[in-house]
Amino acid sequence: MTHFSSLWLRRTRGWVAAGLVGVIAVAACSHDGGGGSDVPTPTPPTAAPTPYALALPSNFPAGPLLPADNPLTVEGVDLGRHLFYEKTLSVDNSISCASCHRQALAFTDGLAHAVGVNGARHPRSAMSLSNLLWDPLLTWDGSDKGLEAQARTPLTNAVEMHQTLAASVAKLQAQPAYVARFAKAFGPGAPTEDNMLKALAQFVRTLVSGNSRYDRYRRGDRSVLSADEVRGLQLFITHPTGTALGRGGNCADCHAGDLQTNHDFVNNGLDRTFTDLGRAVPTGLPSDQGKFRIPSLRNIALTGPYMHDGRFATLEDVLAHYNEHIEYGSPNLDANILNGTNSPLGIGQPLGLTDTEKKQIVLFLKTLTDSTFIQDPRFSQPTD
Amino acid sequence: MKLPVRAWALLLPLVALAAGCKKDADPATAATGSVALDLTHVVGTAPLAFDGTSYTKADGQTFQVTKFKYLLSNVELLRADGTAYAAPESYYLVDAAKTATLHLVVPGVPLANYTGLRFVVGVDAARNTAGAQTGALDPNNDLYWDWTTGYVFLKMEGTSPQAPHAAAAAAGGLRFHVGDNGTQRTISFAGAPLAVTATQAPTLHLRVNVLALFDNAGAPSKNIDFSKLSDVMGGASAPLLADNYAAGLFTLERVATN
Repeated sequence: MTHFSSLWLRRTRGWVAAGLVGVIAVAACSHDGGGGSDVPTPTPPTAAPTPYALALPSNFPAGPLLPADNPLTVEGVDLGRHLFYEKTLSVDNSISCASCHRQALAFTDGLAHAVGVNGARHPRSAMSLSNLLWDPLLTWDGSDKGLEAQARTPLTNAVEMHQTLAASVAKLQAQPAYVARFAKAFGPGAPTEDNMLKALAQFVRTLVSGNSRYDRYRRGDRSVLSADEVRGLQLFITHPTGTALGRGGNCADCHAGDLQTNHDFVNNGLDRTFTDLGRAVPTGLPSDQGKFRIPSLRNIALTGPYMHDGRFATLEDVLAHYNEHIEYGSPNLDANILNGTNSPLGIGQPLGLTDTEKKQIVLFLKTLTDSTFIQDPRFSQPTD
Repeated sequence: MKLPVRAWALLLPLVALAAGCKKDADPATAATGSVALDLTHVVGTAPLAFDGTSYTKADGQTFQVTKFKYLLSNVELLRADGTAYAAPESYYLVDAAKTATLHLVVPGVPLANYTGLRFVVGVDAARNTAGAQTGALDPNNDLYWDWTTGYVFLKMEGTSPQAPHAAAAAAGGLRFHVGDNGTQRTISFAGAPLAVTATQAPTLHLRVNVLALFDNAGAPSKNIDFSKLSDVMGGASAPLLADNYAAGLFTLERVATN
């Protein structure tokens, strides 16, 4: 008999019989030793939270980052969803997380610079939220390790929601519905700062986008992409070698795999001098200046304008940057960009994609749009 | 709640997921011990750093390192009679920038006096082309080309002023991604007595010298001149890099008995 009363939980990964959707089952420590017996189906003790079964696409990598001290529960995720849409978490009760992370735009805001309380202009662009449970370091510069720590930043930052965690908790304690939701998710006792951050992290972990046409292609349905889109995919994943056979967009060294990121930080040649030091802000290293997180390209057609400062309005502008406008004098420019060229003249020449090839890559990028994700009622503003 | 799942662990063992759980004693493992590899990365005599430190090759060319990662697999413990114990599912991802990946433990080793150890840099051919896998072979680890070509066995990235570059750039990129079947290389330490007992779990302390990728003292014709070779993505030049790292990347500094 397995029970769920322990906070120390272990996870078992499995697939449904169809083989298309994996499930992360959050189960308590049991005596099967991970040897693979069927996951038990116990009756939880009264008032203990219910493990949340997170469905993962079969083409996604294993090993998502699920911290042992904050297991996903139905009640925790529900609380996190309410908090995500809760405007009293801002100093003047005017904005919530969802103000800058709108579901219809894959949890971005459509702006070059995010806008906080009192119209404050953020120096950076709001990042899309999806598939973040694989990302060890968050935000554009990797300041925050893990989603629990990350949740603190927008809540308290002066150009975002600008409210202390203590003030947020006090406001929540004054709302009986929240007191009840905290108790369901985390047990008896008043709402706490830690549990508020944990609940927000839980909700954001459930934002899994894996039902784009690209994903369906990867899971075996070859009919969902057009010939031009497939050519775009081939270019996307190919290192250019300066020959007709090796033509490529040089994209997938960084935007690697089904998550379209290798989770690294690089300088992609935007500027010769930096107004935003990027990764060097938290590390202090000159060699990190101008480096920013390599974002996933999930739903990229919905998440413009692009780059950390939203300088490019369209995907065509982005392709033009990589193809024609790399600032080669930029310090710490990434080796993959320094060396990427389709020119028979070799390294030192620009990327050199044709107009048709650029269009094909943009067509491929649009196959990463997941219309299920942006309409999923589990992620929308709660009505209760 | 009902979970319509069967545990994947049957097919693909998971690692590092049991945090916080007490492992039940397993009688079947009582007669086994473990061996560990401890990796220290250097460039020549200097520690490997990713902070813009400049290093110099034997020919005077200079370079900086931004990334150094590789896959180490198929660990075998050698016996005096010429046979070996092959550790099952021994696949490890080493990222020189991540301390947690620099101490590799090989569990479940039958207790015995071994005479040495060997491992492969890369992934065996069968697993290299078996598609995306888990653990060290998770394609999310930045060492996977794509689902048609398999794994990158070793990835070194950096810059060098001597590498070809655009006029406006101060340096060219170094992009050495070694892979494809045929570039797996076996590293052997034959004369390293390893007593694995109920109370002794030996650790091999290995020095990993990145300079050996480019300077091959035993075969100078294989030295890498960055002005001629600065970008390798598998292909014709990858075996050259593989020969170099087979020859000199790893040095056994000492064996700690416990």
